[in-house]
Amino acid sequence: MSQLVLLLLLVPLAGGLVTLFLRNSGHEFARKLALGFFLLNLFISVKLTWDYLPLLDKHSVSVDEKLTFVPLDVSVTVFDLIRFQAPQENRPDAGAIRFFIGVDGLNLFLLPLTCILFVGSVLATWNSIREKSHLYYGLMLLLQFSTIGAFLSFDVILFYTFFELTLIPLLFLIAMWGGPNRQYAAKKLFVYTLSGGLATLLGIIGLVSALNQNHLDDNTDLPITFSIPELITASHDTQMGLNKKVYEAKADKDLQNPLLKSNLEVNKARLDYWASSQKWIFLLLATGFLVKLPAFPFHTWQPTAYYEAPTGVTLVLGGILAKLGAFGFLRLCVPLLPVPAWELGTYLFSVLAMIAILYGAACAIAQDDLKRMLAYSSFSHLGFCLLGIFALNETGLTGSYLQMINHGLNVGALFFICEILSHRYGTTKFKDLQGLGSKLKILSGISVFYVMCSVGLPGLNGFVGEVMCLFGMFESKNPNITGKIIASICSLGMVFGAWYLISMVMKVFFGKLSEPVFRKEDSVSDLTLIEKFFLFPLAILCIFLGIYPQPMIDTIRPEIHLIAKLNLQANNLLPVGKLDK
Amino acid sequence: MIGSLLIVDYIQYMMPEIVLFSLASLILLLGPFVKKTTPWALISSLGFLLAYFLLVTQKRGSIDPSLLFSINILEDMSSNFIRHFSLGMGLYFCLLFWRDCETDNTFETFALLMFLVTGCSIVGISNDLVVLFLGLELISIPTYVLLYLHGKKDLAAESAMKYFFLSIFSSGLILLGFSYLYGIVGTTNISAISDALCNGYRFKPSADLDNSSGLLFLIPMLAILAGLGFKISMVPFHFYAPDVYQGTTYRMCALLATVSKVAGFAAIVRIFGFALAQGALPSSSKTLDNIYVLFWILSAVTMTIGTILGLLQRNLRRILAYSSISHSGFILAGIAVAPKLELATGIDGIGASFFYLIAYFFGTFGIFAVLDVLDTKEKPIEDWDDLAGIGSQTPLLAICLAVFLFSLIGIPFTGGFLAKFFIVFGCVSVPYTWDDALSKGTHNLFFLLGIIAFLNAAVGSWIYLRILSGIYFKPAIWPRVFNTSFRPSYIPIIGCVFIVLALGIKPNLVFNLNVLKGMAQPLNSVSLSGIEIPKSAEIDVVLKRQ
Repeated sequence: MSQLVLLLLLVPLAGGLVTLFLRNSGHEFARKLALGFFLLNLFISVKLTWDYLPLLDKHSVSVDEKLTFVPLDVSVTVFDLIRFQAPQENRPDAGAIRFFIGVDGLNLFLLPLTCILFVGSVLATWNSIREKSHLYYGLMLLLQFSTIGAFLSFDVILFYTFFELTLIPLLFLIAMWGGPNRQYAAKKLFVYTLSGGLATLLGIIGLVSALNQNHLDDNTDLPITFSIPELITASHDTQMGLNKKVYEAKADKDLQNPLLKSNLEVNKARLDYWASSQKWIFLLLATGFLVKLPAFPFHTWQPTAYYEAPTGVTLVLGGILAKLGAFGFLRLCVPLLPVPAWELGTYLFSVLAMIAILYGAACAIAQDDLKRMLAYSSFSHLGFCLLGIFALNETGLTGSYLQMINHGLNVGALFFICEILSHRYGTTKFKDLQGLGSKLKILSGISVFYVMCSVGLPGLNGFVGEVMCLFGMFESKNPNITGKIIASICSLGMVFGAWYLISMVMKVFFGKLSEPVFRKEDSVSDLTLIEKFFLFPLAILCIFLGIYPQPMIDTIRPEIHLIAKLNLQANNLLPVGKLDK
Repeated sequence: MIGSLLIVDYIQYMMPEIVLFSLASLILLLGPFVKKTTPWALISSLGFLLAYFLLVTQKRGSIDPSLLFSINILEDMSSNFIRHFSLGMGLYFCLLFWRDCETDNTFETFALLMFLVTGCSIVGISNDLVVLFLGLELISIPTYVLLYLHGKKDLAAESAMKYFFLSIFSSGLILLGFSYLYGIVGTTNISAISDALCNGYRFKPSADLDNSSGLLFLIPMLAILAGLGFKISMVPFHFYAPDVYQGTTYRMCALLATVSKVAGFAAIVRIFGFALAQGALPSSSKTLDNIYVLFWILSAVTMTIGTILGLLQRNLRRILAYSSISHSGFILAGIAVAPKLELATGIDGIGASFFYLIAYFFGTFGIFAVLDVLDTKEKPIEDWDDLAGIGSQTPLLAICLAVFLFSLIGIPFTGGFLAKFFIVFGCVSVPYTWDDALSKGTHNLFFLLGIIAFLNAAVGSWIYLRILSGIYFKPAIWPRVFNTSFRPSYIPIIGCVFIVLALGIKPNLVFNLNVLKGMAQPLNSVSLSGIEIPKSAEIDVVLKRQ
């Protein structure tokens, strides 16, 4: 079955390369071929998820034992890419950057989400991309390749590599097929994300080399490793070991033994140094993900990029690529460095999330354009992801993960609808589009449905994630009142969300019909078969996830439990770490 | 005879260089008397192939390392690497300069090219200040002539003159430093000088200088560094680069941006090697203990100034000149961090620098080669918006150009990314011990250098992005009739694309990374350990040579 995982990665790569070079075979063939590849990949990913669902039960034991991410045995593909040192016994990961991909609970559901949204993206732009379509679809396939690669990798450098590689297809897609101001938007996106990514890379390198130095024992160096599971173990061991040493020396009350006393000093100094370097590394690591998400104050590239990009790309940007940022937090930042996650989480990142939620909502209210409004609404909703992650307990983390999936589905569908309107009318401005409900009945119905999903109507999918994020923040285990205050303020975000989304529905779909004349030759029709093919099955999925998200929650539990446990331990360690100086 | 090599050994060892040199001389001699249509390009390519063949078939270890103090050439990892690299480079340039067959001065061009490559190779194997200087001059002098031959009418004289005077000045500085060193140590043998700088003066017992007079060494070393700084266009010796590049053809730019840089860095590693190798400096020597601080500053300043000034340019040649300056800064960062790294980290500074040099060479060479193909008399390419529409008119060349630009930006899956990664990995992984404030300070200092490097990489991406947007996102201004027939320079372009991608994905496909790792311990730490201290008789021999 490991071939299936590899296939998931290779199909879009091969498809992309093939499609890119179809210069002369015409628009029709290119898009059909690309759709074929996307559907094939969708099939593979669904089959993969279906296969692994029962397997993951057994998997939870191994995660608990090793206290780190353990990709399912059957899903792993590993080989060396660059080797610095000769391999050690029992540690094949030592001293090499490896091609190490696999599936675990954390990325299992993001794979079909990616594939669904890419199919949606192709269907959304089925008729609107006519120029150089072979390039467009080839780059979309490459974008899918790099996104899936980032989700699958278990090696930090490989992860970073794929993470950064998404930029190149995006640059071309936005700058060649986007709106009037596309070049500026594309370059801004590129430079912003590259800078953030380089900060992340610096954090990764800093972490790897910090863990290479053995803080517990000066005489031996730990092997250098880039594998995420091993790094989590090493980081955890270092933290626990240092704390234990300090604690043991402390426990020996009288400290008569001068040797023990000097050892205490030594270990305290080490602990302090490790704590401070951890904090810097955490901030560096987080920067790239904050840019990608985007979160305040690194969001300024987002509205321009979302607005100027062709809507098919915006759909992917909002639905999938933003999730890469949140995924980075879940995969790297929080489990690798749980101590700074506690220290900075509540005061810095939750506040950033709060600002994103409220500021995004406020901006969304002020927009006069559907696409721009959706961009800001996405910004606001992704704040909940960040909020849930930094609740640092199981509820919050689960909520954040559900929000990632659900927001992906909802925002994907909404951007799809946005593209339907813009293709039919050539505009998405509210002042031009009014009262469409009397003419496009099915479209209005399905739009209202997705808006309700996004608003967070109980029973639909949007509700589950957001509420669990807030619950996580409210949870009594949080040590201080700050979390509760933040959560209360963030709840307002849901109200604002309802405000701007419902007022959008009121403007666009209800009231007196007023539509611009865009194409005189063909009259505006309701949903076509292709559009129904995407929107209706997705709606069923949304309802299902809203009513019965339990299978998903159960599946991701081992990983979420692990992250929460690591962080809980770190929290318990903190008082020891902050021994009287 | 103890302590020397037979002339036969020399000839055997230097056969590739000798072949190239004599072939070049022959071409220069015969050139005026034979037909204009003689295929000089083909002949010189065959010459390079022959030289390369001789190099590959040569048996390794023909030079006994215990003779290190008395011979003026040597064979070690870095010399092998530089030789292979420069001969390969020569072949690439031969194919790139094939276009010169259309002009009047074909044979001069190719002969000079061969001299140049010979010089680069000699710098790599030299173990003597005089030989090293010979190699450097063998690069400089043909460059003056080539610059003039390839000049654009109005700018040729200025560009050639500027390069000539500054290069002469730098050679003067290098000579000053060399003679000063000779005056202090009493020998021109680089191994012996390094040994003297580290361990005292075994070769000149009469001199009662001791290590406390390390300041004396600083003068020649700084003079040499300044002189070599010109070769690698290091700030503050970079001023000539943009002007000179602007006044010449793209293929000549490729030559300027790469050959002298490879030679310059090889010379720096050769001369400063003793102070740069991992753990090379015994604590007894205070001479150049803190040279890394100087390299740190030079590196930070070079990459920052290169990047910032590059942002302000419109002319492609000037942009690429500043880009080459800023990449020099990155390479210097690896050199700066080298003495502070431990073997256990698995990465070493000099190796990272040379990896960067390779990635930089193929990226830069590729860009210049593609631009050279696109640059025609009817439609010269000067500014970055002259590239408008290339993406749709010549899609394959445009893709190649994009790959090279991405490599210079440092996008994953290209050589440029791994090069930057190695450099910064080196900078960040400077070991420290918890209770030693100095080591912690050094650690933080180099972490800062890593941050500076990445800031520059991020800002610098804008420069390349602008070129890229010129290629792909701007509509063509006028229709371009592009001659699609085969050109010899397509071969190195394709080679560059493959190597750039291979370097980024699995560098072991191109060469063994361990080769680079071995280069960091040039002289004293490993290779010298097997050498006995010369007895008095040998000292006499050395003294006589003085």
